Amino acid sequence: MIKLLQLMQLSDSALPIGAAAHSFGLESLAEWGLVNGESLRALVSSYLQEQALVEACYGRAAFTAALDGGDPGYLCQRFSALKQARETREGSICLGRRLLTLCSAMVSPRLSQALEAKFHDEDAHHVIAFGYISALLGFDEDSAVAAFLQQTVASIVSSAQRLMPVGQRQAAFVQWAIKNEIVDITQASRSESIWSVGSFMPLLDIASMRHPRLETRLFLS
Amino acid sequence: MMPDPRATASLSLAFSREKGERPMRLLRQDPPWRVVRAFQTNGCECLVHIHNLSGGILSGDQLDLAVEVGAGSRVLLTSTGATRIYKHREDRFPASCRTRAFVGKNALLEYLPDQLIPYADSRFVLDTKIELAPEGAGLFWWETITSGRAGSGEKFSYASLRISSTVSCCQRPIAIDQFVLEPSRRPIQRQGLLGEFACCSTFYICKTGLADGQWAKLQAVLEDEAEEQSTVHMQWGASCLVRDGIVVRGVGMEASQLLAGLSRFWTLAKFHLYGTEAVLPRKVY
Repeated sequence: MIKLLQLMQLSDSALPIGAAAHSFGLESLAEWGLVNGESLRALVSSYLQEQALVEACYGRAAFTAALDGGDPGYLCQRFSALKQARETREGSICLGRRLLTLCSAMVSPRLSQALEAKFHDEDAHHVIAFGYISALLGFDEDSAVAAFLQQTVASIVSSAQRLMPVGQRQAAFVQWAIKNEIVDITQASRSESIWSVGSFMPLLDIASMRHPRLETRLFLS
Repeated sequence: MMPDPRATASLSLAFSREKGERPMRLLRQDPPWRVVRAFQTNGCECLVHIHNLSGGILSGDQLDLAVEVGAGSRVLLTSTGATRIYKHREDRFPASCRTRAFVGKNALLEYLPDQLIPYADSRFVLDTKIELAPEGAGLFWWETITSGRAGSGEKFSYASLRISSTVSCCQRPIAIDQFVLEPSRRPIQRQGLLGEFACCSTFYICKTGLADGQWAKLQAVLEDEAEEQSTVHMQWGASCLVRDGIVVRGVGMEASQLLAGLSRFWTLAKFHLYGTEAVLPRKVY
């Protein structure tokens, strides 16, 4: 039971690591009128099938690396090369760093030292740090992946609520209705490899690249 | 599957600035690949047109392209027209093109092919890896993917397109882009993917050994250009990569618009990084 409670806390989108400050391109899409309340569900679904599948694979690879005592460095390097929009990449690293810092203060000194040693000089992306920590804390791998995806969806929907007319009931409905897809992506990520998995979201990439030039911004990315 | 007599056709090119050596050596050339000659431009750059005598890539074609740009050489490689991917035949392997390139110290590779046109029911794998030497190796490389043969009313009618692109230095990745498009299984014009747009371009601008500040300056220039070029018909963005480069991405309705836009980014970036004019191949403008 304690593992479940720990996983729920670390995968809560309200965890104080700064996730609420990032929209990862959604703010630009909303500004350009390319996403609204009606199309939010479709965007979340696209995100799950593309970007989130990649994240799930890297989360699993980090989980495995932790169990094997391996080095997550090459995962961090590849993930940084995949995340080509600067703000999105830096946002992911910022969240990962903060998650590591937070966990280091909460877990045993032995685990804390292990995290520090493994991620010292690396771009500690959020999903990689999360997968690695999940293994060290003894979480179930599938549950950890699904929880991360659920948190990702919650963050997108929360951002959307601040950017466009999306009410609480609609937000809850989107999050509820998308759960089957979260399960599907969690399962699909089992058979994907980090060497071949990829995503195709050029419009979201462009939105993220142009985000620094928006006249008014609520989010850091 | 039937063995294909055309399986694995290789083109291998080496470029050098060593005294006594020809600027371009043709190490291997199997049909349908064809390179006629290297033209000298700007006094020191080689312009090479890569021909495909088939007029396109046929089902079962397994093409290999190897390029080595020796220290100090400057090379512009381009195609003679759009790359057409013909319909897949069930008794053949999916068509593929595998490109491996190495750019040496203070060398420059400009790899600027025309757009890819995947015909209805075609299957294609495009796998490109470019390795840069750590000291001053430069790269301008773009790819443009269309929705298909628009003149015949084909739009996202191809069976599958698998793209894998990697730029690296000392085996450490600078940029990775990989995806599989299967329009009949997963529509391409979904939210966040292409939306209403039909074509997309990716342009990598890399040079090893530059200070981060230089990239920040160029990023600002290209961001301005992206803002200026973006309309309801076309959207552009530019961003610093994790190191040693910038990526420019665009989506649009027509490949010709995107190619014209790419050439403007290329002109700006080449002047910024090399202080020289980008010499446009005649077909582009």
